[in-house]
Amino acid sequence: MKLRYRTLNIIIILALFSILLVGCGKLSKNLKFGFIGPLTGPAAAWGIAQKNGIEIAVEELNSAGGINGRKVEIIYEDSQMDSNKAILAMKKLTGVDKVPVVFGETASAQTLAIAPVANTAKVVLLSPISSSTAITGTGVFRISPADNFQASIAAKLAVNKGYKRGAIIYTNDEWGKGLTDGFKKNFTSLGGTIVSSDGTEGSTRDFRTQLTKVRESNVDFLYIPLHPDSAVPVLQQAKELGLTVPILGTDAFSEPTIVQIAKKAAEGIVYVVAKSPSGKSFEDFSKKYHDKFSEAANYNAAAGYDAVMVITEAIKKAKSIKGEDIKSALYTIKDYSGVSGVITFDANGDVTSKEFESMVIKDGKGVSYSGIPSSQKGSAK
Amino acid sequence: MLLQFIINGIIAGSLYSIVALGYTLIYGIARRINFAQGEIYMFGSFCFFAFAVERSVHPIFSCILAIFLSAIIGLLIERFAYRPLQNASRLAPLISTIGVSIFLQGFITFLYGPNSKTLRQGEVEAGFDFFSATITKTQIVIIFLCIILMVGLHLLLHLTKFGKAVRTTAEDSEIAITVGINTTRIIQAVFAISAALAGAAGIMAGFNNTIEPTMGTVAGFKGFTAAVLGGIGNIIGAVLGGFIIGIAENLGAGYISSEYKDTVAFIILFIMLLFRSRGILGKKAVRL
Repeated sequence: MKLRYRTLNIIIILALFSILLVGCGKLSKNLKFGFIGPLTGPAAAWGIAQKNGIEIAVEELNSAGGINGRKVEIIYEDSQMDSNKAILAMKKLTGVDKVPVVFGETASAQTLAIAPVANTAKVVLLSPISSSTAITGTGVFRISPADNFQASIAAKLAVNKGYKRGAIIYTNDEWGKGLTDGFKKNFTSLGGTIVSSDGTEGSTRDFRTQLTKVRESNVDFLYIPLHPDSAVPVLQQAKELGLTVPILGTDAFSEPTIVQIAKKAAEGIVYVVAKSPSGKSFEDFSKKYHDKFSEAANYNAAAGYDAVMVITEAIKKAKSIKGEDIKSALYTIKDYSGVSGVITFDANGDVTSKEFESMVIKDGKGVSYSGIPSSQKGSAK
Repeated sequence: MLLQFIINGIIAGSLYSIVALGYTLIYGIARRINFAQGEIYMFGSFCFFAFAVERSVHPIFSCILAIFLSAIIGLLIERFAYRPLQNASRLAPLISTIGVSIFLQGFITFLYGPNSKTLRQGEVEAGFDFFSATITKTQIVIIFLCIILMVGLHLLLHLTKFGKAVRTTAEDSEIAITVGINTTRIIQAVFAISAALAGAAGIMAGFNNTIEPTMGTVAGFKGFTAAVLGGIGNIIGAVLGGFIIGIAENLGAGYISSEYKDTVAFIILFIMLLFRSRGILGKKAVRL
């Protein structure tokens, strides 16, 4: 019996404390938003870059008086790239902190995991960098374009080059499948045929048999939505096997290790990437970022910064800090010029206005490719 | 196409065979599985990378150094992960070698990062035609070297006094002790030879593909599967198993679906275990 009373006491005390804490939240005049991302663990670099970008945005806002006179405060939650932790963090942010907006997640799997929680709580979930096609239609807004946009540009590029028949070798995961499906759909609707598409494990390094099939199948090109570590052996083995068909790459080719390892085998590969942020606003941002964190700003940091700024814009438009009002205001944002690019959301919350560019590897460097107009907007097919 | 698939299979299979030899040798002599075999394969290739690519040591010397260091790792595994557990449950050394493999993989990742590297110094060369197929110089050398290693191992075991001692220990270690064979030494030597073979295979694989800290996992599994398929403890069985798996998985990827490439090896193993659990050339009564 004694023990029970003690447990009861502890529960009562904890309950009182939590009331106090919730009370504190209500008393403070700060406008609170949540952030969920991997701040430790294997994907920490991505999460921290976004957090840094967000911090710069918050600093800027607060030094200019905050949003509608209220200072902004971000509650950072670390998910360690673990879906369970992300869900717990989301429940805490929506249930205890009662934030109207959450920035996150980073990896698409976690974004998909927390989206239902955000929807039930009527909270805006804005992901700075998740790009999986599977997220489209789950109520998540995002700053980075879905993978199928990139695929649609690649398909257009292939058609513009006069290719009729193609083969695909892809990594069998959310990303690789998303690009493959997007490419197939767009390429066939433009009149092309995909003769074969071979899925492979992420650990595959021997592609000789798949490439042999491509060699014998009389295609005009090979599209490879593969991660860098798989793309390199494909380039090398294609050369060894005397495969002469042109190879189309993905944004994985912006990873410099591909050229470093594959050397001449990577020469002449054409690939499509989201246009890297540039211009005066990005330079200003980079400078601030460098001053504060003494390292170079990257796309992820810029996307984190933009996420805060877009929400600020929406709140100003909505004149409300309720999740639902912010959400409907987000749809009205047109051609917002962010640090990471131009931002307009479609009905799914996907950003449709980010520009892509096609690049070609020349003398070991990715340079702008002039086969098609150097930048194009994606279509949401 | 068929010929090219088979050639691709022989190249992959010759490397699986070498890894399988390591498993089978250790099992034959110590009745234990050394699951760190795949990571030694990775370790060998990274040693070569450290000498030949990073410090521009002559490739031949780098090769010798890398194989030597792999053998040292084999000895260390014997001393610290096998010998203290010799009389413990049969599962104990199995788990301790899994521990070693996790350590090796983590250690190399810590030193070199998770990304791919290459051992090739120059550019990738186009292969030359061999009937309707294509094969590169590197691949011919790999197949040739693998065959030399296999034949060399066979001769070592059958023509030398050392080989006789190894075979005696494998047959019955108690009798071996009574006739004056130092079985501890023999076991040490076998761990070193197995590790050296794995290291050599890793270097060859590095010339044929890229290298990375996780490369040993798949190679280890395939080698183990090959050893079991051929009949664990049997040298010729291991070689046979390696080639069967290499060729079967490439035919599977070619004619069925490339998504099932890795699965093919395990389906073959599964069927084998169902109908002939001792493997192709395994002894009838395998002591467990």
